[in-house]
Amino acid sequence: MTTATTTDLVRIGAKLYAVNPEVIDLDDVIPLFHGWIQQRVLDGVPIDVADYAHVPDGPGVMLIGHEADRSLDLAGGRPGVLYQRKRDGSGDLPERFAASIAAADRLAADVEADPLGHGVRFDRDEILIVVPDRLRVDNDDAALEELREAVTAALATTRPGRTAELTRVTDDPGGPLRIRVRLT
Amino acid sequence: MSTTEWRERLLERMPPELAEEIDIFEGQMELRRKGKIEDRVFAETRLRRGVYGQRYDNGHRHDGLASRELVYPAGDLTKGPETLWDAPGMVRIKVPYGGITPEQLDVIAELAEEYSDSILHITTRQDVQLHYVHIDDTPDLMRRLASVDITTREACGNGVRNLTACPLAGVCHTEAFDTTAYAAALFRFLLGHPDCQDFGRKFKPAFSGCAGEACGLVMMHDFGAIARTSIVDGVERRSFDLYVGGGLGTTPHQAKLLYEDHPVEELLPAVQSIARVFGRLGEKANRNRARIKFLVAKLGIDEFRRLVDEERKVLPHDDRWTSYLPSVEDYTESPVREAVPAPANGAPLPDGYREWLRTNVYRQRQPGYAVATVALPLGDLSSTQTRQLADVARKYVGDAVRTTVEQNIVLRWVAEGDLPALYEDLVAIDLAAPGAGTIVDVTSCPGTDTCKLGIASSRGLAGELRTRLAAKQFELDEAVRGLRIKVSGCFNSCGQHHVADIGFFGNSRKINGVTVPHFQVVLGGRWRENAGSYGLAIGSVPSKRIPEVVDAITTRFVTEREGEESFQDWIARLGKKELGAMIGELKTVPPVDEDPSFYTDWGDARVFTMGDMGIGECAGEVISSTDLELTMAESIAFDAQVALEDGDLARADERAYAAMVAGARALVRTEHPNVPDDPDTIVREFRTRFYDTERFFDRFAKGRFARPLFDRHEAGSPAEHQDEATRSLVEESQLFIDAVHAMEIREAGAQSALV
Ligand code: HEM
Ligand code: SF4
Repeated sequence: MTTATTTDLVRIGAKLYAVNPEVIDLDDVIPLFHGWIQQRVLDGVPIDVADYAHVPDGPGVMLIGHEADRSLDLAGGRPGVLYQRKRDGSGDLPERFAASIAAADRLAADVEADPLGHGVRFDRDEILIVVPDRLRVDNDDAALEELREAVTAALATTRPGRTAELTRVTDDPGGPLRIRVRLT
Repeated sequence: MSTTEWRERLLERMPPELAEEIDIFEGQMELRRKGKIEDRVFAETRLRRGVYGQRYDNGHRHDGLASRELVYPAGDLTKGPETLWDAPGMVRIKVPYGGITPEQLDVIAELAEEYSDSILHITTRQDVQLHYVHIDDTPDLMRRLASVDITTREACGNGVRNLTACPLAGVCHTEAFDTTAYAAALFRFLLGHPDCQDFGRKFKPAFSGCAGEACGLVMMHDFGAIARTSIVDGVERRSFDLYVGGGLGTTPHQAKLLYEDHPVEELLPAVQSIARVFGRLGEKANRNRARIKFLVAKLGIDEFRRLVDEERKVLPHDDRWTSYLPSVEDYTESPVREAVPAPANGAPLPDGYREWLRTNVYRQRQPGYAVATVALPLGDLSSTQTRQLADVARKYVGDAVRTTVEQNIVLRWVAEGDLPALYEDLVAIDLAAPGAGTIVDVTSCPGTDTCKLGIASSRGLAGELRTRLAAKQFELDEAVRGLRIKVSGCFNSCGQHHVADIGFFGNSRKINGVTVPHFQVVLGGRWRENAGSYGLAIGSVPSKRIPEVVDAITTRFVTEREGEESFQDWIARLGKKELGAMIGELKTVPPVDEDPSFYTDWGDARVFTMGDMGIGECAGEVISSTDLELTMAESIAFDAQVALEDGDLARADERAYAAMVAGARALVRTEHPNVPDDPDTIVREFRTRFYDTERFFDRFAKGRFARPLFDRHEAGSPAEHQDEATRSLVEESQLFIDAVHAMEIREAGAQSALV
């Protein structure tokens, strides 16, 4: 048996919100993601595109991968790009947080750069960190405290020189731990 | 073994036998990793635990430009023949009779978030499916389910599948009695039963509370029980009418009455006897003939009944047959809220409430209570919505929640006075869409999204139709609003298109040398009377024109309907010829440079046969003689349907046979242009060139679609024409032609891969 600890967390997600979500056309996100698979521009093994645009405030349009899913996510009623790591994480815990944030940054940049993004822009000053792994972390304040140091260290490399305020999102108590990061 | 802490954490909460089974499965996974279990054996082990394969799990995917390899870390390790270990899969969670509690919903929501894609998908057999799950995560996933008393055991594989039943059981006005406790007892009894481990194919049971309504869909099931009561010596006595041998798929069969008025005490032993007969005599080698429907058809229902009777006589007694019966009387589902009357007339009501009330609410037999349907688009809801819905359920109805075969969720025992508040709570979580059970509430199988057998995008089409119809639902004529649309991604019929008013199943056609996604249009199936009759195919239309098909049919129905005429009666009155003509104009496909959209599927950006297309070909109007001949064969098959509809069985039989011969001739002529026009030669040539060489075989159905041609050719015209046999031959003739098309596409694909 392996004893689970927070230090071996792998399922780490990072979401960046759209500043101008009204320009997003989810029908166009489908060819956008298919295009990335065709051009083989992604790290890891991309598998397929899943369209859940019909589910209100749901996972939107997803680019399912083996190691991670990328999506134009609608959760919380606030569209954004979500990079959700699922397995095969490397490095120590701060590095794994940093890797997910960096991947979300790249995802945001790639969508912004594509004509099918219709000029959408994503806010880099607010990050939603999602940790769907109930074996290793509960959704409570103690868990936030336990992870604070690692997240702060990750932000030092991905958002150097900024001040970060971390709060736990409490509107979905049964949901996974979600940490809102605001940078100033 | 890489067991995680979930096992230790949940040990006390899991039923011991489930806990042990999961440990064993985890052990088998380990053995498979070490190459100590053959992948075929492991595949069936996995399937019997609800761990299914998913599209692209052979490691190849056409990305729209070319077929690409998916290079996974675990490399060549497989979890079944041609199924890579790392490839994501589907987990099917069995929900017997659709009964699910808020606590169970909460757990499944967590699993969807951690191991899947945050979506719960409700299926057409009341199950819940999670997609894109990695096999390494399945033991923990199963443990967490077991901790809330759910098993995935025998959710797939050749065993007893989920038991479905009316979502209104116990609260319905037309039912004879509440079948829930009987259904639960049968479910427990059959789960893992030794007599159910040796089937050649799956076995799907269903329960219904009455004969007239649709909900239980007994007539399309391998086994079904319809409740009835009678008065014996002044006392009400409960019994079941038991049916066997129904099923959809390529050869739909209506179930046959096995026992009428069968005592409830004899329910379990009867099913056990059926299982033994099926296990012993059912086809094993040929999967395509292995469902019990083929055994019943082969033996005839009387002989089948005799065998079941014989089996019953020698069955060793089992206390479980009746031990549950005393508790049946005690089984009640009680409301968590007191019955408060509905708001008085004139009371202020939330926006949109009236519409929702009209279509989504059913008044229970018990005064003061109602069932509210939560209509889910394409059967999907997010994990967050699931948790929110579980909270809403706790507040208003407690555990009284069920999934439905229309891919929705119902909340039972809502106090009528709570309806406006419930509606507002549902609005807040975006689950208050009106139109449940109407034309907007389109049902669909997973299709090409995740199913390995999918030909065309059923979910894409269903989503498109739903969006278009929802936009104008309040303007639609009442008669049209009441119709049901069901879509399957291929002929296997998982979307139950045979029992819809308007049904579709995916196929493809080669147009000017290019493969174009199509749907076969199937009209007039009967949903009521437990799926009492099946629709007939009237022709294949390009996928992108299906919305026009729906418009054409519904508009015409409204204009031509006489009085209260049902859709089925109207279809029958109009006749296949007329219907065929109506969709005839919609069969055309513009050249690719004029409208490339026809060459992609709904919701999919890939032009999936671009690589096979060959640039020059689509520019010219080159139609091969094979295509022309196949068109001819198709029109003969159409004639057969018209004859069938006219009740001219002899002609229907003759035309169906002629259509198959014409299809075979089209193929033979590609190699032997001067083949004489006599059936003996054509069938012989077809057999040696395409059947014996297995060129006609497809990966899944093998040579199955050619068998009816051979059988009919050898047997000659039957002395007496039976309705069901003729109907079946007519269906088969269409499938044979489809298979010829498919072979052509395969061989053209293989050729273009060579150049
Ligand atoms: C994983 C992809 C799936 C595959 C490969 C598959 C395969 C099949 C096949 C081969 C048949 C024809 C049965 C026969 O006559 O032998 C069938 C029928 C059917 N399947 Fe599926 N299926 C899949 C997914 C589903 C799903 C998700 C559902 C919903 C729970 C479903 C429900 C049905 C139903 C209702 C039928 C028709 C009733 C019957 O005759 O069994 N299937 N399926
Ligand atoms: S009907 Fe065909 S495409 Fe749809 S789920 Fe069944 S096998 Fe797959």
